[in-house]
Amino acid sequence: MTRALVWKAWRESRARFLVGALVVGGLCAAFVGFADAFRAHMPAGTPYASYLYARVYGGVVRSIFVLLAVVLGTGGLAREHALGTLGFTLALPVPRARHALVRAAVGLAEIVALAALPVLIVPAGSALVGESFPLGAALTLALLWAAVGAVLLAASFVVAELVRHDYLALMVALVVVRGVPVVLARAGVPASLDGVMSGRAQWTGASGTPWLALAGLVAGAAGLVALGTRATAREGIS
Amino acid sequence: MLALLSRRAWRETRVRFALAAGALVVTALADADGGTGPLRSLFCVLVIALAGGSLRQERVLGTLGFTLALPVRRGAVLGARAAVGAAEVAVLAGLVAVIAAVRSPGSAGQALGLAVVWAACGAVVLALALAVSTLVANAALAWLVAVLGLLAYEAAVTLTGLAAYPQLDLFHLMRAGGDRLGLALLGLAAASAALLAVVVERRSEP
Repeated sequence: MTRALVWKAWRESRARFLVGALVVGGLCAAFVGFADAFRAHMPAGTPYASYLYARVYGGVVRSIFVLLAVVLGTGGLAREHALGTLGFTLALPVPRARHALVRAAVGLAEIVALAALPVLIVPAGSALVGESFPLGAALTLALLWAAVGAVLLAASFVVAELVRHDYLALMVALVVVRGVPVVLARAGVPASLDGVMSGRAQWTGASGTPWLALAGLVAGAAGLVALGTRATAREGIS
Repeated sequence: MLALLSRRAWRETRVRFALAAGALVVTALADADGGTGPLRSLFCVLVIALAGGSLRQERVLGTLGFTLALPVRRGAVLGARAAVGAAEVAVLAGLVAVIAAVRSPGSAGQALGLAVVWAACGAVVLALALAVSTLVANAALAWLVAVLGLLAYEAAVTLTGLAAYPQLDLFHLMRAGGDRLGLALLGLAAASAALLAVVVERRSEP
């Protein structure tokens, strides 16, 4: 039955995932393939690797990845209630918590796959066009993207389990994800997930892979998923 | 009947509008750089979420029959939604301008100019999102397609030869205040996107 639930979660989210993969992969390939044209708009003398880092890991691709993490976290039983399909889903002989857990697991797998796309495209594509991009740095940045993406997805997952309307759930998730770090920064609490994702310290070699921060992010994501699952299991929707 | 359609559109979007207003106010007050960078992108993604909702999406929710039973054309339904959305965007832009004026006092004309440019840019984004929502039934996917479309446009006008024409760049206009040519382009873009949405909605047979 769990396999069937995984298949259901994948069918429900595959369009969003495939659109996201197409855009992230396409942009990475474009930045590698048309590097000369794009570098013309950067300061003269910018090294190839620094250009790719700025465009992929510090620019538009990172922004898109953040939004994809939020969008992939939407859905769930609350939304099914609004769509009128909840009865069919609850008729399946599995507890509600498992529905939520499977959906979170599929979403997390999709986020990991999206985070891995630049690793697959940027170093290999650079080699094909006669340039180079450090594979080790790409792997470290992919780890950071996956961990931060997991937290964002988990936050969106919790919101989606509580809010029935699609657009409202998206909006609440966006406000939480984009607004809370700004407010926390103003209050003196460093909570910039964008800063973590950019991995500037790792890129410049100032520090190695931040295993402790990664563990903290994974623990945070797990806590949020547990919270969302518990909310689903306790909610009285029927 | 148009008043009723407008009231219906307001009822459907008022929670989202209140949330967007609250988020923009808090972010504008907390933003250390004076309410520019993060606020612009937040404004645009919230406007896209505010614009969502179409007959195609009502079909998924199972409420399409009730809406089509009303003695009005489909274009009128979308027109009322677009008008209410544009009014909400104008209010959001006004809020941002008021906060900017309070944080760094200048002339009232500057604040008014900021509100007009943000409202015009927001109207373009709103029209884009409405057009997408008439084509894509899944709400989350429609929002994603609209946001990606906006980002693709932004990448095109900043990273290609179009960078020589800053009047085409929405974010540049929102930052710099815009000029007459920019506003004219914005008006044209908003009108054409809204027209596209109406045409698509009227021709669709959900």
